[in-house]
Amino acid sequence: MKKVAIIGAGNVGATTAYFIAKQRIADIVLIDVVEGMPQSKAEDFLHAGPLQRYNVAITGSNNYEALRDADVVVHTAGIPRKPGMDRLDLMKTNAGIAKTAGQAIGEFAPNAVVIAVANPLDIIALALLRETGFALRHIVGMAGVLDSTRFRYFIAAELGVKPEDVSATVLGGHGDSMVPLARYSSVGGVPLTELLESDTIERLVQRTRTGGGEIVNYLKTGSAFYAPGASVAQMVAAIVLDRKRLVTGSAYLRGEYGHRGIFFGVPVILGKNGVERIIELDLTDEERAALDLSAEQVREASNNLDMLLA
Amino acid sequence: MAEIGIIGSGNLGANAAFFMAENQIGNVCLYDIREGLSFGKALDLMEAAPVRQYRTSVDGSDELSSVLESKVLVIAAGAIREPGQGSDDLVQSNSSVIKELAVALREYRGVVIIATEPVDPLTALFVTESGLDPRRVFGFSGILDGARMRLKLSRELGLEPEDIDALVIGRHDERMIALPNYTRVSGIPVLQLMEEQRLLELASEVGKSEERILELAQRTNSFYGPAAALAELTEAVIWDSGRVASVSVVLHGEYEMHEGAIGLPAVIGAEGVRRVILPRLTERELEQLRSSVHDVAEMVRGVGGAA
Repeated sequence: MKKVAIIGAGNVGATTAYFIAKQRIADIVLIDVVEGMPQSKAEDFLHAGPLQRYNVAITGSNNYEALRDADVVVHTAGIPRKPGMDRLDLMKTNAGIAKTAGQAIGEFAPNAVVIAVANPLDIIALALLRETGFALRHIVGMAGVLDSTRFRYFIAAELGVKPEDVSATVLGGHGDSMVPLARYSSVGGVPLTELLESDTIERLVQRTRTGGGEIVNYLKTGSAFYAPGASVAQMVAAIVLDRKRLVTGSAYLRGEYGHRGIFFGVPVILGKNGVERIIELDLTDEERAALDLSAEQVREASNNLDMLLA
Repeated sequence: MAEIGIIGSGNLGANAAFFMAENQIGNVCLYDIREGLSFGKALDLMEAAPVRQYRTSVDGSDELSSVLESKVLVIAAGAIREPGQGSDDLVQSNSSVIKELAVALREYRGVVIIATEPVDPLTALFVTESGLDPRRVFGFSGILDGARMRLKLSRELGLEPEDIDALVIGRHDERMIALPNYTRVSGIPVLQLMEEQRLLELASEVGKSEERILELAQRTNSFYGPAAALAELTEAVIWDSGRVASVSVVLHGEYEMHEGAIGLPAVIGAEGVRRVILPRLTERELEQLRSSVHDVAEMVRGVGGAA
């Protein structure tokens, strides 16, 4: 059985662990700085084992040494976004946490593929790349899977079709500047643009862009974790089981889509080696402009990271 | 009373019941004119239940009346294709089974899924002979051809089959029409990942799948793939899930065609075909579709039905 280490045993980390255990993808270790917390969640999960039939090992630890020999590391540790708080406001605190975690991952799990989940996602991925010293393709950020699963759900609800028959592509940075692409979204192979009026598509696109905020506004004291947990688990499965899935992931760009030096949401093929390929789509001028705008925002924030980690 | 009735307890019907039990889709009743067969298959399946933890049941019956109160009725009765046998030949032997059932099911209130080959003419024949609402009857076809296409493409591209959507319309045999412009990977047109020529080559292999399985397995045609697809369609009706799949639908003006039945993408829910989706076809694809529909209508008339 492969091993997945989840750094941060909060709601996203624990829910990710649940989906991984439920689908019997890998053994799990939950790691958190809060004493007793990861241990208590691991124990609680195990108590449900007789009913849920996980067949995987789940442990908790307050020590980064528990990362040892992990095949995949999921980095969720960080403070969550509060209502009205922009993702970039989170950066200072969460980049600091990522710095410590990244160094530990580099030391104890040098062969792992790392999935960045904590926000601001694209920046945290960059911090993890720097601090682990890993190969570029071994770090990937989880954003596009979540943004596209939201878009898929909204499309399915609008059309009254089964959500799993809907595919959707959402590129760009994980924030209000994300770029949902209707032309690259389809239902049973039929492009969305043939099934819905452009006004309706625009409404769904807008709701996707603010999908995370919609949940934050309801919860008031926290942010989403069921859909994020499911999205991370899907990426973990793609890597651990070497499934070669085509998903949107935040990958380090070296000229793809005309950008370099940033982590940015693009279509990737995920397998045991992490990001095995980046797919470059044909884009219209309008789509490209939206993507460039989003990339510019990520770049500005990435530059701030240089100062913070300097 | 079982929510799902299956007429024909051969390999196709019994394996469809098996997938339905595995996926807990609903209680199933198998019926066959061969006495005892349905009881035997149902008992064998239920003896797996304690190990596989089925929460739904499979029963067998020798009485057609046992399946008449179901919400879905799968018709998997009739002869299977012999190696080298064409669908024109098969329609002769199976049309009498379908006609007989159509008459017996005139009062049926659920959704009927036709899986007896050849599906397209027999779906049209069943609708005219039973007088049932055509939207409550559809034939099982393109969903399987699409699944086979997805597998081929996943092997070709080295990608996960689950991420691939492949729309296949038209006849459920070597005349099937794969639509390259409606074949996508996670929403991305597959033609951005491969050449159209190669896709069409693979499609031509998919069209020969049935014949190939028949040759390899001898005396038995495919049934795992078809049974899995049947379970999917049944689930879409029972759970009213709005599954988008290519199925054989009776034509009512789609592409200005008014007779016969042919595979087209549709949204499937509790009431059967909720909506037919009309892809934008190239001239060539449309021509192929028209020619297929013409053949289907001829076949229906050939067995004494009104197309």
